Amino acid sequence: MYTDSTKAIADSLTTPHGQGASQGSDWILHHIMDGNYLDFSPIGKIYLPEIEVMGFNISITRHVVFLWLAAILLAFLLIKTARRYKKTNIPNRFTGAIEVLIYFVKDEIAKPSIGGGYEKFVPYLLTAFFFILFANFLGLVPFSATVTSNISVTATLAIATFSVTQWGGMRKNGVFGYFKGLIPHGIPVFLLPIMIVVEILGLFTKPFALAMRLFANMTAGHIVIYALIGLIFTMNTIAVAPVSVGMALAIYMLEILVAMLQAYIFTMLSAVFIGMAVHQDH
Amino acid sequence: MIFSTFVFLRASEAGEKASLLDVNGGLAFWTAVTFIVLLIVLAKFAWKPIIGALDSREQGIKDALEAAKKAKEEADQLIAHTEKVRQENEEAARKQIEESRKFIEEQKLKMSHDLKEEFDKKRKDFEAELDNREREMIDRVIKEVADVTIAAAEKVVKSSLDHEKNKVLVNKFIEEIRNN
Repeated sequence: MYTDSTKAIADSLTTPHGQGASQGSDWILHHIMDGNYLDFSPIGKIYLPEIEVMGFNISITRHVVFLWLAAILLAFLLIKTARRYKKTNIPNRFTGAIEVLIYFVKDEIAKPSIGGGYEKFVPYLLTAFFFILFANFLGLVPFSATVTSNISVTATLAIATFSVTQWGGMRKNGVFGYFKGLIPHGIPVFLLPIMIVVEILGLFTKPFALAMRLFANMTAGHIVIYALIGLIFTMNTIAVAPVSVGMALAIYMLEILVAMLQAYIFTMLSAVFIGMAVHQDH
Repeated sequence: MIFSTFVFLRASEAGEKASLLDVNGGLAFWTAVTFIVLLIVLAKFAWKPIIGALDSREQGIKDALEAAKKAKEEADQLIAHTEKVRQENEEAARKQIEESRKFIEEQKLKMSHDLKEEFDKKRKDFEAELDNREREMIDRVIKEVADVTIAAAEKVVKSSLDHEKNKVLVNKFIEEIRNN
């Protein structure tokens, strides 16, 4: 009985849509991963151009499109907000909501985490926060793709934080002073070789963790939603649909929370790393 | 950042098999470009004016609070001053009222005293005058009576008694009456 049912699931997993086209759970990955088309199935697909410059493949892919969409939406809304603030200091419903987030990043994230001289880093932190927030939310819209569930995107963002961190640290402490400050004060000389290796590794594990955290969080939720929906086809019965859809909806709600939370965590940790690089003594 | 995307680009050339953890150099490149452009655009056209406006509003609120505090202090001072002046005025007014009352009291006392004196004097005068008149009247009546009596007695005893002797008698008689 047990082996029978697992075999049935395994069988149906290999032919999820009953088309036998894809292997295993590949169809989930297809939805999550990048592709050279915009997927509006069942209506159809829009194929995107491939670009190759100097031997590098920089094609416009699905994630690039939604990356731009998030950026354009963000720029449009925020410039609109800025226009209004140029006219009057009094917030309205929309700019008030944006203002809350700006104040949050500025006063609750940047100020306590970085400390003195935090103003320089506020534009970067704000951009990172809003960009990740918009990308995360855009990923929750049907037919769209979650840019932040692609490791290339999150790695690039993490490298941006890494760059800003190093730049901030070197600007404040000088290039030599910065690297010297990486080693904690008062450790025995014989530990130095180990500490140098550990600290330099530590420099790179921080952005790595940033990239992996955002990527994994944004990917996991989507995989769970697809898996729950896939259950209907796997079990090959409509009876499971209410359970699947209900649970998928619950996960979707959770995703809304995660979308905000991950934007916050990325920004928060970026600010903490910048603060550690700028004020090395503590 | 741009440099690292090129590293990714190189790396992505090598692997062909699609996996969730594969780094796509092209996407990394576009992410970097988009993010840097977004950062520059937003920093210039959004963050700077918005944060400027928020800061200026903060400053404005701070200034307004400061001004309100100052105005309140001034008002308090004014109130204290007014209160002091009012108390002084009240004191003065009370003193004045007190003085007036005293004056009126004195005046009343004096007036009643004067009136009494005058009244007494008038009464005394009147009494005196009344006494005078009474005496005069009595005197006149007595004189009349005496004259009449003398005249009658003269007529009655004309020849027998001389006038001088009678007069002495009558005077003696009058004296007796008066003593009674």
